[in-house]
Amino acid sequence: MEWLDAILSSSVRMGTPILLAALACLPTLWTRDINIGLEGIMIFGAFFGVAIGLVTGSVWVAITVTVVLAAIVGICFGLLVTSLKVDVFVAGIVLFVFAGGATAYLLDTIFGAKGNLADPSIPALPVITIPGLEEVTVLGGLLSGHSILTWTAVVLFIAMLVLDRTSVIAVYLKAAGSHPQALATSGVRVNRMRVLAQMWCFVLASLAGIQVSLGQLSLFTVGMTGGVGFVALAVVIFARGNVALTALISLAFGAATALTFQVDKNVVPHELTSILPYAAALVALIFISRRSRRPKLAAA
Amino acid sequence: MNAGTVPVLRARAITKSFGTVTANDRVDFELNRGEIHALVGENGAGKSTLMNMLYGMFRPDSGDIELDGVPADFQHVDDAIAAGIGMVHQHFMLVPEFTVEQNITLGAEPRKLGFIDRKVSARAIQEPMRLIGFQIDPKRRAQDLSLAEQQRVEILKVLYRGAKIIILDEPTAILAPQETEELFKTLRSLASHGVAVIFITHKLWEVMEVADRVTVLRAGATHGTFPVDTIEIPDVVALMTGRTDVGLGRTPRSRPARPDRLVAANLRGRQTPDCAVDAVSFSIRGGEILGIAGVDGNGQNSLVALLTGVASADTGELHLDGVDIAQTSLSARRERGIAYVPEDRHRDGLPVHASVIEGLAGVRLASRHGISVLKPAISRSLTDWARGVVDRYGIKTASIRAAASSLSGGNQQKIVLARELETRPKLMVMAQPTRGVDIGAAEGIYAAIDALAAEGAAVVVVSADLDELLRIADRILVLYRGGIAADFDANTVSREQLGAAMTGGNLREAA
Amino acid sequence: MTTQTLERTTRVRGHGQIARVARVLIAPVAGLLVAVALIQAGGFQPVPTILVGLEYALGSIDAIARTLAWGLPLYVATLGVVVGFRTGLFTVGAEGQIYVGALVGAVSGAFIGGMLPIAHQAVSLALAALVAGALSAGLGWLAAHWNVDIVLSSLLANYILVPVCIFLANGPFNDPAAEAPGATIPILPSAEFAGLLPRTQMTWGILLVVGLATLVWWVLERSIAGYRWRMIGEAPGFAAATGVNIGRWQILAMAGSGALCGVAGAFLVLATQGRFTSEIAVGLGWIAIMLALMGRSRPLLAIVWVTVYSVMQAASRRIEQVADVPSDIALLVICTILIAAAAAPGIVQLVTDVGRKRHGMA
Repeated sequence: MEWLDAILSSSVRMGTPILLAALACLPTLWTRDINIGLEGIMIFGAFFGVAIGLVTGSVWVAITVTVVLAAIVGICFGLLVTSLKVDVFVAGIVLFVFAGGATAYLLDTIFGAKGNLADPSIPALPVITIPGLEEVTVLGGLLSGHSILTWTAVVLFIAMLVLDRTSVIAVYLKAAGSHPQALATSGVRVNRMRVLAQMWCFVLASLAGIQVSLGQLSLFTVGMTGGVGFVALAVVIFARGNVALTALISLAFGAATALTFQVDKNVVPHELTSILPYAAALVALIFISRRSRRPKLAAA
Repeated sequence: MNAGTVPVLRARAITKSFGTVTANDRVDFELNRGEIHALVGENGAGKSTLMNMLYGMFRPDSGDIELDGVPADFQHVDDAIAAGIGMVHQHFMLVPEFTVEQNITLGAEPRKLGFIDRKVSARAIQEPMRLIGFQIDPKRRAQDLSLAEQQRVEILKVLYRGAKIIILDEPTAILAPQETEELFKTLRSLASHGVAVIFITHKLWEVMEVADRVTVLRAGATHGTFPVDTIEIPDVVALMTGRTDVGLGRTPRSRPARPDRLVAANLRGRQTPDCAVDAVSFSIRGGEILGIAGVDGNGQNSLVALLTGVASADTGELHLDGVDIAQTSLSARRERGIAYVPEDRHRDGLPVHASVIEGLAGVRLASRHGISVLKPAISRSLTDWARGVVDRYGIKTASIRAAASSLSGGNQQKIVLARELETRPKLMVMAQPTRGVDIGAAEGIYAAIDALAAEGAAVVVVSADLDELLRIADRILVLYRGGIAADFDANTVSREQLGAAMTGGNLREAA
Repeated sequence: MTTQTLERTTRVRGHGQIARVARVLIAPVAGLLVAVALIQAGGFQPVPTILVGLEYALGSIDAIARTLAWGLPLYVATLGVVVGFRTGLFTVGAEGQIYVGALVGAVSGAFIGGMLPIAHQAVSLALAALVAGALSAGLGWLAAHWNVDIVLSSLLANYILVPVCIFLANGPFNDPAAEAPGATIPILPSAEFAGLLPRTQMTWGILLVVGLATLVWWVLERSIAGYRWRMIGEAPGFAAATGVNIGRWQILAMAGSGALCGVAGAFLVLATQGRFTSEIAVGLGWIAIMLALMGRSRPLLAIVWVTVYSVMQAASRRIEQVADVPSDIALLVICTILIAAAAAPGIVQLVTDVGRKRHGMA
């Protein structure tokens, strides 16, 4: 039974960055400005979380500063895509490639490190253990011992669920993507909605990145997000903009990723098992595409 | 009709340029309270540009606008909306997945702390519905509504925002005759409530029937404003085109009876999002021009797709000169002598950003197979041929290497038509052949269609413009819900008969 | 997505000479500024440092040869991406396909013995093209017939193909004596491309690359096949309405794209590295994608940008030696240039509009 607990716990832990990144990307799906540079934002988040945590010693400062920076950069990205009319596909690719290069550069110039940054004084994300629940099988693994960002993700999920149904902003975001002229001729500034969506994306995706670096081993390795941002992209496409489905599929992928670590390294080396989430996503993509029209990543 | 001395809207010396193109050149326009004012002009005359500026979508380079005598400067659409101006665009501004209620209230939802107040919203939309006497289930999705219903929702939308001036851009383009009549009733009712209506159209009989005054635009400038009872249609046409020789009537025609060239039997199939064509059978003789009429969405697009091979038929037969082609591909059909002028010139007709010669070459190059695809595309012989085509068809372009986007709509359509005619087709399928084309170029297109029929080809013309069909077709098929509602002789049918068939009138009991 | 959506930024306002010049200059100037800033931040004088780097990259025949030699695989890979993009297929699977090509080239080079050098090289390249091309064509088939989004499928494919290649390199094809991780057995001498200039790594492979570049340019820009691909990319509705079999030609484009990337990977092994290693082409596919975007999916312009990038790469390697500034700056500068180039028309329009407003118009 401990084995089940371990898997559940690890599923939630692996699923958190996927969920955060997917929730991040969702409004950009609504506005049809899907940000494929999600992975890049996560790498930045992972790096800055560690860097600021190391320099200030405080995980709270690290989170706050990273989030604020992400919001600012997100607004700039939004302006790039709206006012400067840069194609969001191009911008996303550049974001992804730039993130890899920039974090390696900063790692070297600021910390003199190449490849990774590990230091005992890098703080870790606070973990919430629920006393009493900790020992309960299944529930213990599922609910206790997770970082605050996991709980943040849950709160954000619920918030988005509510906003999706009833808020004016959600209506505007979806109209901005589905029929921007309709929204514009109703007097709403479409570009503001698009910029807002990008800002939201950057903020949540940077949190996802922090979860990856500070939420596990409290270190930074080049490329440590390992394509998780692209898995989140797949999740968002599969869920077709539905908030509840997004969460469900994110957790499914979290579980799939957790399972790959369960396989005995001597039977199947990790290189092969690491492809499981991506292979699953590809198979799901093929299966789902056969049946209906799906939003595309490079939609005209 | 006209109340008060100050016009509710006055635009003076409005000028607007886009790059090197002057869309509006010192245009004057005036609107009285409770008036229905028609704005006419050819394609590209500047009507939509002027209206878009009145609606605050962009600002004039110079000139001023006054509302009730007070100068107005609209920075943005919500300024115009706040000033009581509403616009119903030619292409509807309804979010397809949203409900009627969501679409009507878009941009002005009743809200509580950022959340939509559903109760207030449901109440608020009842008022405009009462005003125009149109009830509709607010929970229905916009994409499930008919075009006429969508237009009503658009009107509800502007009324919900408190519009006292309503601009309608080519509102009757997609309506059947009965629906047009109902729209006119609605407009007269609104006018009697003090709402002023501006109504862009290129159908002059509509102007005569419903408008109080008409303003004519030509090449971006005003060419007069007249009360409708002081002017006749030919005068308006002369002002619109600057010519007095434009043919308006039907070209008299007598053609020898020839054997059937195209025979469709129990054809069934669908091209989404149009409705399916359901067991349709008809035939076309050589030299005959068959018009296809119907409210958009009743199967015309599916029929075109089935005839050209864009969509494959589920069942049924389609014989061209005796050979069944129902299951063949579009390229095979082209090889058999079917030509196709698509409805959407910019999407399917020609590659707008490529050169003229690349647009002309499409069909000739598409027929090459195997290793010859590695041969050069633009050869000397192709260039010579293209130059010849441009000359023969009077296509106005700087050079054959110029981008197709630099040509006018009429000339672009000429490219498409020329290319298809050069294949000496046995069957020509055309959809909306003169959409977005000025009168002069349209004349040329009609002449070309006539010439093609005279050579013995069968021609199918799908058009939303009944006047066009009445003018050039020999027979008119009316499609309704994917089936043939009627088969009329174009020489003798009336608009009312067409309209009845288009809305299923023949199938309904007498009202 | 059509190629026009990527290019729609070119049709914005801002006529006149100044606007045109500005549009062209904004990108390189931005890149230069970033380079200067980064070197300055490292505590070194930017201008002399850049000159030193450029000297290393271009200062002599040997230098130029060395710079070009580094770039040869990138030319081929970028042209592969261009073929896909031009057809409207925004495939981002270059990384995976290069890896596959590299592995196939390494295995073919190491295990197929007893052949004449020309034949051995040709066979290795052909096999690499075949395997990578087939995989890419598979993605194209899925896109054409089952409507599978090509961006997502090619993206995911990278994360499947690369680990599988590394697994195979660590497994059956592994060379236990090698230091580098995931290294395969070195290729036989018959598979190596013969050197052209000593000490420069330039091989006769340059002829192959020039040949491929000419072929791609001819096919794409002049031939009927290229016409069909370009029409599918720019005006798919028109292509369909005039009888082009869109599905078949999309698959062919993907096959060509993959084949070229595969050749690029194999070339990397046969002409430079001599074996496959797990780090052999990290990021190369993504650079090819960016350079293809910089070249607006046009073969000639893309070749120009690959050349520029090769120079930047060589220069930054030298700068890292003398100035302790990480060689990542080449990547950072090219990213800046791409974004600046994409934003240039929009910037010019914005400035033009603001200027118009000031003068009391619009």
